[in-house]
Amino acid sequence: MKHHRIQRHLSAYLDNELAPALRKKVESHLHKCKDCAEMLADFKGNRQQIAGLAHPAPPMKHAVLAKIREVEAAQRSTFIRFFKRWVFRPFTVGATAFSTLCFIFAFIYFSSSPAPQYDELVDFYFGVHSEEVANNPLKSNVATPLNTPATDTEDFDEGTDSLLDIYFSD
Amino acid sequence: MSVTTLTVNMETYSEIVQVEDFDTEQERELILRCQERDTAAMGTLIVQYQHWVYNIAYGMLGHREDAEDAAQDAFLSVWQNIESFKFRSRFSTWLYRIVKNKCLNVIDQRKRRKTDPMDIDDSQPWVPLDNVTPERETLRNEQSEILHAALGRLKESYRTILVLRELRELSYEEIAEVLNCTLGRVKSRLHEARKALREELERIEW
Repeated sequence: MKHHRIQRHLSAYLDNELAPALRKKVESHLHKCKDCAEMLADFKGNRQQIAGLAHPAPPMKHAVLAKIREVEAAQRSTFIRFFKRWVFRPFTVGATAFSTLCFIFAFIYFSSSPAPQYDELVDFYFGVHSEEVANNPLKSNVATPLNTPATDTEDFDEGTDSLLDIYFSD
Repeated sequence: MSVTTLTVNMETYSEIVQVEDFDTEQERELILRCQERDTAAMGTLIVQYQHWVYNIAYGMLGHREDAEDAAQDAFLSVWQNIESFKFRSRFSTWLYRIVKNKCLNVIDQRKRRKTDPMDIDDSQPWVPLDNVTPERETLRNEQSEILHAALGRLKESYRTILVLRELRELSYEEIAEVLNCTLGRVKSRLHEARKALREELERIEW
């Protein structure tokens, strides 16, 4: 394998990322080629130097948590503003308008309702208590306890006529 | 040292040092709790990932304050979009993609403001991870500055892939997922990036 092709694999060789066969080829080349060996040594040295750049970070837990709280408070206030402006205010205005309309419609509806129709119960009441019915219940077409026909026809026989005669005798 | 001071120091320590023994089950539970808007769970996730999120941002941006802002914005985005995370990929991959996008936004803003993208912040010294002598620390700071200068001169895509691979040690598959490209593209781009960094460092040193 040519020199420049081997050089391309030096980085992967350093990181132990080469297939075994290719690794052997690179190793055998490194024994013969001074330039490639120097390059590999420089790569190693630079790697160590960069690794040495790491140093303790300043504690940032409290700062980050404070930022988080700040951002969330800002988001909350934005939400509340949005809610008040676009949800709460239209809702209250809408609800007031709706209830007012309901009240107006209800008033119109009940005030313009038709006159009460013939009421059988009222008629019954007056029928029962009227003088005419009291004196002559047979003339009334309203059922009263006095002139209600018996529902059971079997019980209604000739004998009831005599009872009626007694009742109407005075 | 009083008990209170010790407790406070331990809390600070636990926030600086990432929790290494954090298994995927715990992480899954935390994510589910975050999806139910539990800020305490989010706090734990931040402590877990702040180190790498910040360092990736720093590696990409080369500026401490920008990196801190980008990292905080990334966590804020995580909180706002955590409900869209469906466990189809690793959480870290999803998070690093957000960090990468935040950093790209910062880079875009810089370009719009016509700020020099290689303007490296050296106002604050590097904080060593281990105990080193002052001489060695000075040398290390110089090397770091040179390295940052070289990284700053690279194309953004090269810088990103180098930070993900060398700093965070993500696998090729994870990088492909974060960058949304093929494995072959990751291999070739990583090689080109390493080569470009080597050339930049040689140029600076000469």
